[in-house]
Amino acid sequence: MNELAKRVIEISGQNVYACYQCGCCSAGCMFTEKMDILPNQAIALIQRGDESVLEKETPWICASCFVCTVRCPRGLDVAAIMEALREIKIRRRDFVKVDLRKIKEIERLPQIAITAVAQKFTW
Amino acid sequence: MKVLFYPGCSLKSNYPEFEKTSIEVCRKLGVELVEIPKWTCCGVNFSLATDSVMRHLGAVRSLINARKEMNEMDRRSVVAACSMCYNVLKRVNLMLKEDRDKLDTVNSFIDDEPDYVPDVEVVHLLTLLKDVGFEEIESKVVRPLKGLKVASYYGCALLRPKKPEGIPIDDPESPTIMEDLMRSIGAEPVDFPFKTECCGNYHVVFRPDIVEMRAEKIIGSAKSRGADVIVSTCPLCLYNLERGNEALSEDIRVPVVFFTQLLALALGVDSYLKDEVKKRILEGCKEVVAET
Ligand code: SF4
Ligand code: SF4
Repeated sequence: MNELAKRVIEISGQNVYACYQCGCCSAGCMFTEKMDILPNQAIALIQRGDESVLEKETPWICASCFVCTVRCPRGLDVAAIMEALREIKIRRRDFVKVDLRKIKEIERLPQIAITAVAQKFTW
Repeated sequence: MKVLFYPGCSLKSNYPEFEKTSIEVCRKLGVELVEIPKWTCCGVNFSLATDSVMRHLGAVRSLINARKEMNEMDRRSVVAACSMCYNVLKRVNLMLKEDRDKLDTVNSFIDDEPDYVPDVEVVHLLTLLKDVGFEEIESKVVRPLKGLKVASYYGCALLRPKKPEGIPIDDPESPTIMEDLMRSIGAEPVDFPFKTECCGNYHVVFRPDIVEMRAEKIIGSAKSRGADVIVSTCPLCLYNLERGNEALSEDIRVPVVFFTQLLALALGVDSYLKDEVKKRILEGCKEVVAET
């Protein structure tokens, strides 16, 4: 098993090798038009140990809506795999995706939006 | 009936009308929602990293504090009105019920509180209202919202994921609980295919373009089905859909309100609706005299 897949499996608890690339996850995902690769393509890169997946926008566009998780015929929690890709970058601390000091309209935004963005994008 | 209530941050800081109408509607139905003393933020999104418990601790602390009050209550439940709070508290509780190791880790980590014993249930306010009974609610209606076309927007957190069992409050692909509730107050539910889709979640903070893309589709779909108003169970969904409304031209906007605000209107308690929204809703109630 390649190192990347090992790490993703450790964090997400999902056996990425169970994915047979049917594309159901990407078909249901409502955010693909903002992504640079499709969710199933991200999984294919993990299976191959291709670390370029960590530089893609896709995991950061994923909004954890769990449509893919509900529909995957292999029972994979695809949302958790996306989270694992984010976590790997966050834990390496080699990367700043957002600057919480630059939030516009902070008084207007619901508090849960700010907490959620801090939870998903920072350490 | 007395039951513990978890209000959550956004009801306290941004949307007091959601909290007030939840409490007052329940009181009208003979249910007293008692706020958990010393609750903390739930964390908003259930952390999907299975190798760490850190991000679950806020939810666990609230559940520990809820448990201290349980003996004074009539049900061993914690009720949340916000869908995101519901989802996180529910998932953390289910995880601790199923995973003894995680429960031990969490309990040894939280040193200043008694151990958590996962013998309580987390329920959403909609489920509590269903337990009260939609016929019972119907019998308490003083102002039926006859003719008002209501699109029930569920979003993600009430319905997904499906596993572990118990998270969805209804059929995850085709829920009807909110429509049934709307029917009980005399309104006319309209079905629309985007009711379980995602509003864009926290992307509103740094990528409002993503939220606008989602919100326009959701509102456009409700509009094309003839909705006068959209009801929501989530402060973030409501905020995001309203952002979408701002980006749309006036004639295709659909106001978004909390489901409890329509209940309040029908049950004759303060709905805390903005004047112009209330006016629009009462105009939608074709058979109701618009007196306030
Ligand atoms: S739906 Fe499941 S099996 Fe199909 S491509 Fe996506 S992850 Fe792989
Ligand atoms: S959880 Fe992420 S990848 Fe899956 S459908 Fe939702 S946005 Fe797309």
